[in-house]
Amino acid sequence: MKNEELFQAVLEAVSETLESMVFEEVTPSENDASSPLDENSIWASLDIKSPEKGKFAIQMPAELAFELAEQLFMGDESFEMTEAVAVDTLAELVNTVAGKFMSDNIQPDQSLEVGLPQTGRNAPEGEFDNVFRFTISDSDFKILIKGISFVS
Amino acid sequence: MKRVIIADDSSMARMFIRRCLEISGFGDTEFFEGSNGQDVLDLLKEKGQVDLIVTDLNMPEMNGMELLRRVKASPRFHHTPVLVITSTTSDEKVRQMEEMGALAVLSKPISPTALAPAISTLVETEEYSS
Repeated sequence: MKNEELFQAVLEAVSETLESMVFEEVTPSENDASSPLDENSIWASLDIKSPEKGKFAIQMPAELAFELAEQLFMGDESFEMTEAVAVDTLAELVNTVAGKFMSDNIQPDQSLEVGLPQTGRNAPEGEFDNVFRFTISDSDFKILIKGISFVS
Repeated sequence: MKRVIIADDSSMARMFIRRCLEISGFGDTEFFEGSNGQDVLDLLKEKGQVDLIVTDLNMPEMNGMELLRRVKASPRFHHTPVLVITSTTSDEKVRQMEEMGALAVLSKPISPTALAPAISTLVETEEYSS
């Protein structure tokens, strides 16, 4: 998959996920993908185990994760905003976005197996082959991908 | 009042599923939540029969596939509808879970629109019987 095709496939997965969950439009960022995000960032990643090993991660400012979580829980009287909720929201996002992206792009006869989401502060460790930057609610976030040369 | 168990290791996902169910006909419903398949089995033991189990596939400790297998093998609970919601699905896995007795297998992100057809028979049955 060429870089532009990969970008469009990732944009589609991210857009469908976030637009259905928080009714917010996702657009490509005008900022350079390699430039750092807000210092107070959190991330969630998902290991891809099959059909080949890889990794899919989302990194965003903690403030944006809080904002998305608040939108998701809006109207829920039992909701109490904590960092754990924001991190959980990000973990579910990476799970859903990566799952959708992979399911949409692997061959029908390939099986898809993933690990459980990992989370942390700042930026995910390790090298990534592709870094894409998007905007939602006037804030930027990144999708980082490693080792998915097998997608069609 | 209906009774539904939702299993997902993400509290956010459980809340989102609950909301979709409420919009799709499970408004007057008592919801129980667990973060893995074992939690669901414990809830079934504690609460007894429920109208629906909605489970994520990829969970720690006991995943949704094993939960489905255990529920369908149970003499007491094998008639309980189990709806599987997953972010990572393949045609083969979907077929396997349907053969195991899953009510339906839906891909995340779910929405009330996607959920409604899968649970419509349960909603109609309840409305008819009441």
